[in-house]
Amino acid sequence: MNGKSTPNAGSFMRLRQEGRTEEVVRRLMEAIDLGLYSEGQQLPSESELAMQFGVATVTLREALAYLRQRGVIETRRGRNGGSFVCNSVEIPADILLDQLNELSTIELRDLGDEHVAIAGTAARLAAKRGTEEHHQHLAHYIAALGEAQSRRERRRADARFHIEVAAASQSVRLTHAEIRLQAEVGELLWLPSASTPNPETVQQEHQAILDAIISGDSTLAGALAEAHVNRGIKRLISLKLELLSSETE
Amino acid sequence: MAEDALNRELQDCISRIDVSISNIFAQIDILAREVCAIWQQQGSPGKAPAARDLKSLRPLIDSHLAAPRSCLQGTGVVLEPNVLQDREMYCEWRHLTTNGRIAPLDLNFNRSSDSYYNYRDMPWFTRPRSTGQRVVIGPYIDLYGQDTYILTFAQPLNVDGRFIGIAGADIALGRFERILVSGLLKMSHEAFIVTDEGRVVAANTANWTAGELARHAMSRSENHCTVVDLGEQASHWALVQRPCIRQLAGAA
Repeated sequence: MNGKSTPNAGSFMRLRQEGRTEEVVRRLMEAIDLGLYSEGQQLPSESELAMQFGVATVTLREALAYLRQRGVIETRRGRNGGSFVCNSVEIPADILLDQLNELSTIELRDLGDEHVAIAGTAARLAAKRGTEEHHQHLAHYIAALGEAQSRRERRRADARFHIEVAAASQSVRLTHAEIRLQAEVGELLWLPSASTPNPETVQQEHQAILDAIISGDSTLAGALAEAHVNRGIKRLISLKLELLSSETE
Repeated sequence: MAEDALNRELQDCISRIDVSISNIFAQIDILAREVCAIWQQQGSPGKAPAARDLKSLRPLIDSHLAAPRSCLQGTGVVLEPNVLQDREMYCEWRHLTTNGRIAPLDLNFNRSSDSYYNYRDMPWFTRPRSTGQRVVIGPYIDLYGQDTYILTFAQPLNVDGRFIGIAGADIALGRFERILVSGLLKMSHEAFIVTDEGRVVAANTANWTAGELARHAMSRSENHCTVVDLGEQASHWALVQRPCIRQLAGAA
């Protein structure tokens, strides 16, 4: 983030089995969306990506062709050629509101249930398995949230904190699940509204989780992570009810 | 707020929800009449219809699923075992697939399979059979059926006093919510709808979400909450109005 290189992005995304093109597209989009590959950054070579995803080169090429068509990446020819992540614009708030409008409070609650399970377990394991290096990564993304200048940067720093917690848990499955959940819900959490928390509040909550992880208190780390996720979902449900309310007036 | 203004809010909300429930049963009833007509057309007693005779229901089922603003996830009829001449278990049930198309619901009636869909024991089948009444079941996760979170509305099919199955509809709670919540959101106090087992169906506050059990809120109801049963009795639902004023998201 913020121009920092992300050499480990690939390890987050390894597919266990022969993946389909759509799956590769989805994973790459999520990775780009979350800033695991930042704008202007060159993607690894086709053969390297194919190996990371565990798919045939032809499948990967199909996925890249789709992303090129969508304007997510561009491919330059020549000696310094390759696929590069295009600069993209912040998703406008009204599109996000439409997205929230499509979800029922039941779906939001269910999304929250899953996220609590994943984030809670990840934090508990991170407290048992995380090392100094992980703690530094986590502290970095808490600081990045404070420095963030746009909604998008805030959202990315927030998402990256949670993904790094999962990475510290040493579980590939939990990390994949956290990436998917952040792609689904992360943007909505920073939707501008009267109830959007200020970054300092979120930083404090992240810091409390990190402190528990550093002190090895897995029960506390899990409980704090769960409460943190719950607060976010509850806010989204309230916002959704507001939308429904203005609709029926 | 004055007592009677509060009461009016509550009654308005209840009658909206009653109407939305009876609208769904009205559709199911059309289907039920059609099935009974098929049975009667078979004429001579002792001669049972065959599975193919129920195919004529499909256009009607599809029209219900495709109706504008419908919350139906699936609808059709499920038959009592051995009432057809050529099948043991049978349903003529169609549903909306994830990409929005209408397709027959493919259920597994193989007893030895892990995903055997034994509807004989399912409450939306057994209750109309034993009571002769309409029921609303759920919300629940329809395992090996729709695999989604639904309500099932069902009414018994009786031909010459004999139970031959049920006509019913699966309601996607996610889409039904819009209708249920519209009334609740007009109330100034926190309120939610609960089933007879105390499970929240819809709420106007993020403090309660669909699927939760609200028993403990109910048990304090004598002192703090107003609990009013819905008029539409098949649902066994009640509206609970809590003493707290509803907070807006912006104020939270």
